[in-house]
Amino acid sequence: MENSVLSPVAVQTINLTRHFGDKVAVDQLNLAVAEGEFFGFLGPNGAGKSTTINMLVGLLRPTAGTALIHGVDIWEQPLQAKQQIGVLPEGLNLYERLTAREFIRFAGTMYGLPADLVEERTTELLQLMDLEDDADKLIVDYSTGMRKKTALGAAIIHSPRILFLDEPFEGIDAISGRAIRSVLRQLRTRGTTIFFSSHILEVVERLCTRVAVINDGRLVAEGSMTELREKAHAGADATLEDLFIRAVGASVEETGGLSWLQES
Amino acid sequence: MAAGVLTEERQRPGRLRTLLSLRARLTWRQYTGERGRIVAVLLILIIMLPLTLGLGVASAIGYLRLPEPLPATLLAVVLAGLWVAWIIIPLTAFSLNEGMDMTRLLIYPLSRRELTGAMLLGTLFDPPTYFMLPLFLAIVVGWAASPALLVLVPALLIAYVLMILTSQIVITMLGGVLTSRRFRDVFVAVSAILGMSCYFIQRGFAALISRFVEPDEITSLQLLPSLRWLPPGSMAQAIVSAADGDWGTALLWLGYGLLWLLLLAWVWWQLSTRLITGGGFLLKGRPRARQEERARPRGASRSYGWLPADLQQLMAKELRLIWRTPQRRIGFLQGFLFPLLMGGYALIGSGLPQEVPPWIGLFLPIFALFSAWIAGQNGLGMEGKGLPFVLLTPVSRRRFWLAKGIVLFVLTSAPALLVGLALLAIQPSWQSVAGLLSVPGIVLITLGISNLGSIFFPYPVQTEGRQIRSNARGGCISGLGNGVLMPTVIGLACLPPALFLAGGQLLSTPWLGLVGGLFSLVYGAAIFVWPGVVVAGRLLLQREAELVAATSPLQGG
Repeated sequence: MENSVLSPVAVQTINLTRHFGDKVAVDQLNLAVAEGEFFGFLGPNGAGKSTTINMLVGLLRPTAGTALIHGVDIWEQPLQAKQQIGVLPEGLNLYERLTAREFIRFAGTMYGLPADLVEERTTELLQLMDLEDDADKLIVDYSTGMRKKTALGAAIIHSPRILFLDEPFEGIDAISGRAIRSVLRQLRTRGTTIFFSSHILEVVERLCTRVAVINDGRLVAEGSMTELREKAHAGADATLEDLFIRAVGASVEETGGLSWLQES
Repeated sequence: MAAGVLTEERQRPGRLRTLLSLRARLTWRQYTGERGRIVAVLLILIIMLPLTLGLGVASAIGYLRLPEPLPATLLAVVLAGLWVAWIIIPLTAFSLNEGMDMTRLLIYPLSRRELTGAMLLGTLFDPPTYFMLPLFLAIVVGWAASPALLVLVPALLIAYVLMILTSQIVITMLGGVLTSRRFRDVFVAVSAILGMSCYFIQRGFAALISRFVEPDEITSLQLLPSLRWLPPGSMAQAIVSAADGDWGTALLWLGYGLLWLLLLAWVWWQLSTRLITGGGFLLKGRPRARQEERARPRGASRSYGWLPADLQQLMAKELRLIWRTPQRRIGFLQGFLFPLLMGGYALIGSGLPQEVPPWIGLFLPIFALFSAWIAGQNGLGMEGKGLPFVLLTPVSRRRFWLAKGIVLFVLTSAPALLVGLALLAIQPSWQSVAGLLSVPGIVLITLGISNLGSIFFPYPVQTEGRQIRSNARGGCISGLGNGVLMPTVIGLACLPPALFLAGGQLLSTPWLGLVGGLFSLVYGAAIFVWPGVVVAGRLLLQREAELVAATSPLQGG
């Protein structure tokens, strides 16, 4: 993980807030992700990560605050903002009765790519994602990994300037994981901003240039690994997992473990 | 130490009780999981309970009052019928009742005896067991007065176990197929077509019987000699022989039934062993890789250059979703099949063409209206899981509605147009021409207003099960909106063209009806384009987040 030089802001939230009844899922979140950054967005279960991403991509209306995509308010000018982003949502919103080939082709056309380019990229994506042999099967019959790769293909077919990934490595095998990582590295090389949420901290540590940690809807830590270590007064050998646990204020030891597994 | 604990736990007697309680709970929750399902269960109870009780009473009277040899025939038919029912019912309920799926228990250290006991005793929690109870009681009532009483109890017990064993063999053998999407799709299609054409099947069946069986022969109908070779049929023969005092033959047939029981138990045991030891179900359904290969060609999609590419893709998506979602496909096919079946039956059965009143053509728009209303309802919910994806893209929301509208327009107006053309061919009249002209307009009006309804009254639907299931989250307002308000608005919007048609008929002025037909086309197109595409597109853009939340659950985290 390295500290990136600050470039124009690609994603910005200003006091972004979301309430579900009495529960405050996201509380006045202020984030700024620079263009070209590989930004890790971390938090324990129920911290508000998916809620934040859904508000950033226009799927969940904020109770208050602003979400900007390259300076465009996604809630004011949704189509202009959506033209610039690709999304791999946690719930994998796919048309299950389409095949992967049909779905990726459909996605390319929806983003306004010309037909020949759609065909070319669809074929290439299917090859890269190792979906060629199953490209003409219905998505409803796919495994989780295949669905994820299909959704990723649909999210990047138009070369988005910003890619939002919500748990891209959850439930997939090592081979699929490697394929996805390779695609993400390529995107990063060509300057795509990646907003990345994951529970797999080793991957985040390996891929991300900067990290934000959210807990109970509030931003509790933000910065590069070096900055996080400095803020936490941790040694150079502190891993992201150590820093994460310190940031959200929990440890396995604190819970006391299981009574029947403790030695008498 | 650990192994000792495990052995000790394996022998604990409470485990069978736990398995049975699990089965009871799962069966109960199968019916109480959703509000809609409770209503369905109550409806089933209201229909099935009197039906089975009535069948029980009728068969008991039949055993006691019918002249020879009909009681024996009736007994054989009842036992064979129950046997067939026990084969079919698990096929229809397997994916609904998790309790029937033994593979879910295989990860636990359960003995084969426990699994077997749980499966056999678990049938006591299946509603079909209780639906057949009146028929078993009727057999006891009908035959207990005869000397057959001694044979009756073992014969009925053997018949019951034979039924359960056969149904378990079917489940154990076909489990892999029963849980497959392909089976579910085929089941949906077959049951919908059977449901729609049951009247015609019943007519055909009656015609077959009247053709091959003379009325005199019915009173001397003997099916027992054929049915007694089937497992439960043999028990009917044992009871009948015992009632005749022919104890030797009765015992022979009991023995024959026991042989069946042993054979089926052995087969079931083998299949269960295969399942328990990791061999899987005997039939697993077609391997996934082969499932779609034959039907779906690879390569580039067909392009229609005169249409914008995004509109083409949206239309293709709509068509594919309709065709590949069995419930929706059947819904549309029914639109085509129903007039065909009705017309075919009318033509063959009663020489209807000469009797067709000319004003019937004026009802064509109503037929089209109903088709379009059903098809156009909850257009966003019908997108299922895919809706958020489309809304994540910058595609024109007007195009979204336009594509949907074009596809639904073609599919819903085509059946009415076909019927109209048939009417014109059979008996040309100005009413048929006016009705035919009005169909496209009425469909456009209905679809245009339904698009607004889809935005104001959305509800989530699940299209992966055997029915398209709406979720209770849709709520009362959505129900009232879709069930009351939208039909009213559609009705009011259709009033102007309807007045033209009615005026033409009532005032005997055909030109008024014909002008009405043409007017409805222009008027319908205007309603479809303005509120149905332009306004609906704008509203969709404004309410996307709320509509996603209303039609598909979003997970926070």
